[in-house]
Amino acid sequence: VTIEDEVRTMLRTRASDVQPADDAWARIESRLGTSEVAARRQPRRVLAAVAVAAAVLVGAVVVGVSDDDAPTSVVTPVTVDDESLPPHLWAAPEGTSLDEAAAEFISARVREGDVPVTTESTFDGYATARVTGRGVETELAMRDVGGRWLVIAASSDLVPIHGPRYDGRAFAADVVAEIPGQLDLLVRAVDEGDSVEAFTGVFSGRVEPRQEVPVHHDRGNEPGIGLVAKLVAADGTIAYSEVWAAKEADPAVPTAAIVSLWPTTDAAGLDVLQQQAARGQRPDLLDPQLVARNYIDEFVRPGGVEVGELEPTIDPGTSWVGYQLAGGHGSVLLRRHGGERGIWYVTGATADIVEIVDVRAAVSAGALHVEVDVGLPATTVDVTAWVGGRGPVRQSAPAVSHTTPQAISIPGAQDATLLMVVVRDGDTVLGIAARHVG
Amino acid sequence: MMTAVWEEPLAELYRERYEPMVRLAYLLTGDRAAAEDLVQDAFVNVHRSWGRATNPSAYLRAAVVNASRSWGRRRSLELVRRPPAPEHPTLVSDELWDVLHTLPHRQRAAIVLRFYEDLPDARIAELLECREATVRTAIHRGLAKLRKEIEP
Repeated sequence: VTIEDEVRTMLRTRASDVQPADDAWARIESRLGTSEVAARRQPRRVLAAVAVAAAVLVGAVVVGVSDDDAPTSVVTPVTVDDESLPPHLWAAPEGTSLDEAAAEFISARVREGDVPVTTESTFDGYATARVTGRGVETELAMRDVGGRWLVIAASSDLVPIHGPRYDGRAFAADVVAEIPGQLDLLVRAVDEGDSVEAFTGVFSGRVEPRQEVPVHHDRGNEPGIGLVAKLVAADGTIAYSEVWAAKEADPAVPTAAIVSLWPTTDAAGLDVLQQQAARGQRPDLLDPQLVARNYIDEFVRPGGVEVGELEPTIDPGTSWVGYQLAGGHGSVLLRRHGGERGIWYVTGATADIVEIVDVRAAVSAGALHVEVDVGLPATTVDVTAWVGGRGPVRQSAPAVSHTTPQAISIPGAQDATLLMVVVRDGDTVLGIAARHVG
Repeated sequence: MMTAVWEEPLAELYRERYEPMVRLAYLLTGDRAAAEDLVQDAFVNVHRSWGRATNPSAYLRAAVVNASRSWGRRRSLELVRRPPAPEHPTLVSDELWDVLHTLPHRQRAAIVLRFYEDLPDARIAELLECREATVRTAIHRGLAKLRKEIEP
């Protein structure tokens, strides 16, 4: 008897002992059902991932559902054992390695026991851990903080959370159950002072395939809100998604340097507006001509001013449109925030009859000195300067001459970042010029 | 068992190939539960690729072999942290079997595909994504190790 013969006999003997489970086909059918759904959901999965990433980066959102008979609350010790960590990062007690942290999170949040974790990718302190099979379907977004791996968010194609957002008063999102099962949605809030996290049930019930569950949960004065979506399928598989949304800044209340004349806001405000546009809430900001017209309506003359075509520049992120005023031709300068789907905002304006010749910050005097050249007889020169996160500082002066530049001083505007000059003849706006300072 | 039109071709493949593939996966992994999981995943992959795969049966076997290799990698990582669970107690201890599963994946897979599936070198080389000479080397080295371990 050769070794080859022995091996052949051994293999056949071992193989003959294997009898597949009776429910194998049912399991395949179940997996096919979920994989079909997952395949259909790929594009939305990407969007969901982007939304989650944006929520994490910008401080956006989480879930919320309203269901009168659902609310229940569970308060547990917070899993973040380091007070220096922000509450949307969930530390695992033994999570010094990526796999361990993922396993600890699954054990604490989803299901206890041995669940296989596959690290999909790691890059620059961030990683994705895929948890699939053995009754759990989810993907964890993770981050390395000081040598400890923390979970940032969880997402499952089977129960995606779309558009989570929290404005400081209410949380809203849309949850989709891609397969039938028992769906439970819980809003998560973290009280950092008491080191506890509270889960409030906002929806609990059976759902049909592709059923959308809108979530709206009133809750104020939180730094952020989280949403947990747990869908248990007929075969016991648990699909799990969880996201955190920090309170959105109010773009109308800028706290930093103003970078946009219209909508008048700071960089963080532009980020929020971009999120809103991505959710379909601010389609006007995706139309540069409409943005220019709105700027003119607000600062120059409400209604009646037609703007021209969008004029391209070398930089695809900038453009301008022309318009006609009583004093001649004018242009509104526009910039796009982000890429092809970025919102447009106004960064400046030019006009034939007015030019900002010079701008100097007089720190010792606590003022901004502006030199303006007015090309037509006018009655008034109005100067508006935006300083940091404060409201605009305005100075109005009589138009002295249209043959020599006119100096205007604006007290308290020495740190201004944006400046706008409007030249009037009585109530008629002749021209407008605006630019960044410095 | 069959419920939908789209399932019928897959069901036919299931009837013919599910059990042989579970046995193959078991020989490659040494784990019954994992073998069934891997083969069920392979059927899902076959279904997704239906229409693109010219030979679904061959595609299925390749998927099982690849999945077994991936499973082995994951398993080796898990074993670093956790001792292996005792293998099914209904089978008697088999020294040859035990040694087979200490072999590197390529050697073990080459031996299983040659002596259980009776595949030629060229086909094994395709499945293992290597040259035929590498297949012959893997089988030679694997058998040598088995022979050495079981000889008194």
